[in-house]
Amino acid sequence: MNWLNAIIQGVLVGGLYAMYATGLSVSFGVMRLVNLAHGDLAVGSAFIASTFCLATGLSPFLAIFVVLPLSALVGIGLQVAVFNRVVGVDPSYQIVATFGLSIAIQNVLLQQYAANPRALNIGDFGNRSLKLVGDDVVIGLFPLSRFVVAVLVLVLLSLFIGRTRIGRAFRATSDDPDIARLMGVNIRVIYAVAFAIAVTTVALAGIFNGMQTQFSAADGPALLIYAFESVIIGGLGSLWGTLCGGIILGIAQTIGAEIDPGWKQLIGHLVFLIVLLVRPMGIFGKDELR
Amino acid sequence: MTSIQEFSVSRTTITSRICQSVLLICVFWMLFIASGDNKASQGKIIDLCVFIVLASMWNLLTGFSGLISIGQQAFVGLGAYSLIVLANGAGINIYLAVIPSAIIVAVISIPLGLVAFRLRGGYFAIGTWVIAEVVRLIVKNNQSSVIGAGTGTSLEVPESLKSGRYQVTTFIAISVVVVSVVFVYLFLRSRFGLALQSVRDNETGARSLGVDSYRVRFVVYIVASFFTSLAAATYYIKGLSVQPDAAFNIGSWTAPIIVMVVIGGIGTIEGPIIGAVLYYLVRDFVSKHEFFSDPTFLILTGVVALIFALFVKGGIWGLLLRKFPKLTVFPVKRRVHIENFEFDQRGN
Repeated sequence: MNWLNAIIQGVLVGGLYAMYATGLSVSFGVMRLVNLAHGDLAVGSAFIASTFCLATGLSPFLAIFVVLPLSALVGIGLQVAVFNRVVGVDPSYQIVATFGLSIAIQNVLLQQYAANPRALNIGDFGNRSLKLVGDDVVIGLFPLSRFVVAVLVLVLLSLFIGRTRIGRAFRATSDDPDIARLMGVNIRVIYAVAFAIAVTTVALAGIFNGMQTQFSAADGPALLIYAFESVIIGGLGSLWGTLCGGIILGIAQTIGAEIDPGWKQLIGHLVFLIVLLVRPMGIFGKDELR
Repeated sequence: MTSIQEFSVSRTTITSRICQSVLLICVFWMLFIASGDNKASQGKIIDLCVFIVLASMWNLLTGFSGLISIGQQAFVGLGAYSLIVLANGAGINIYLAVIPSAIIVAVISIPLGLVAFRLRGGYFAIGTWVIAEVVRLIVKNNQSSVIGAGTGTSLEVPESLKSGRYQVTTFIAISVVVVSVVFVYLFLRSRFGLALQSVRDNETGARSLGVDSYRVRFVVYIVASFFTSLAAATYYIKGLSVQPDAAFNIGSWTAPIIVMVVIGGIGTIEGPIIGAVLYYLVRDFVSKHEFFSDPTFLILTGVVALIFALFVKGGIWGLLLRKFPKLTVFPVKRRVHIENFEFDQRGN
């Protein structure tokens, strides 16, 4: 059993989880929207990237530049067609609507791509690694760069929310949509931008996930749960908390897998439940959940 | 000036009496089939009854208490495995084990609820799902021979009980559905039901009037777990084989339940019943046509749920009520009759 290695791998996976969670955090923060189709959007993007690569023979890294603008458009489309109608209404309709969307996306993917798992082939880059502490700790070059990108995305996003005009409108809308509207904020535009960000980040996470492991049509719900756990462990409303939550979840899972492969998810869930019982506002959260 | 001297308060209306009589006839018709030999029809009745109970309980949680659960599969699976433990493990008669297994699940639901109730609204929903996953994984990693780990196990039916199993199970299923629906009806008419709906409509307001919103909701959570596992145990006396991935599957339990309630009409007693019957009729029709593969049917259910949640919030029952405002099967509202006037609670 190699604990140091498990922890380092957990941290690297945690970056990916944080990237899944960012969109969930943003859409909840700005719109009070819980999107159950979040994980399915990630899987869908990975499938689109894989189709693109098979059709053109290009690298999955180039597919990112095609899929991300596409997913921003999908996000805006979904916001206009679906989510604007459930923002601010009874949350049960939100849950039912996004749950219906999730079932629909999953089964469209199942019908299009069958139940066979797929992967995005990044060639030799996926196998390169740095060896530390003799041969005990091996850091894959790809997981490391993925982690760096995740942190970079979070830095950019927090600069965007903290320093720009639209970011200020984001925070205002989050605090009180009615007052924000009185102050001249076009809420529909804010919601559309927020959702575009949510879908783009989760699409990137989905593609990154597909570059390392296989994915299949039914994976969405598990990804949603990881994202959700990262958000809650870290604390609502804190992007850095989300990163921390993702890392804690990642470490819990790799340590669980180290003890017994069947325990990987279970230990992750249990850590989440313990945090929920001991500190329901999350590690970095300030308020109780509303 | 009219002095209010002669007035009376009533809840039942003529339509509600007529509709209830029709339902009673349906129950007798199902009992007639239950006493026959047609296993195919009996199987369908069992499935329908089970899903009416599951849908009614999800509706009690979500529609009447504002507790949005997408983790009902936890209680389906727990109901199935409690039955297995009591029947296969402790050797209790399979029929007599149904109620005790539901009681066991109701007790287990207390600690699960304590965790879930840390979350609110949409996050409560995902929380219930995580809890269901935890329970599934614990069962799956349990290597004892009674539980059977990931491959699952089968309910052992003793020789003496093998004949007539479908008949007895159909009777149990019909009893469970009647008891559940009548329970929900009486529950919502009681003081407690009024408190519950006031919490859903305005929690702050209800609390200011002295309603303990946490306790009220918690009781509903336990009640719903009890009936959900009661229905699940009934289902598995018919189905016999239990696997963790199937019994705790969100897609085969909670997804259809939600679709049924939304189609029928969320927040009404009638809605889940109508939705469940309609879902079964459609699925029965669809299973005979090649065009509707499994994914196609599921895509359609997803899209239908989405459309109803966005555009037809009251469901089919809501549409009917708009056309026939006096229609009611299970009247929860009170009506005041004063001489020639008639008011209901909303002052119409």
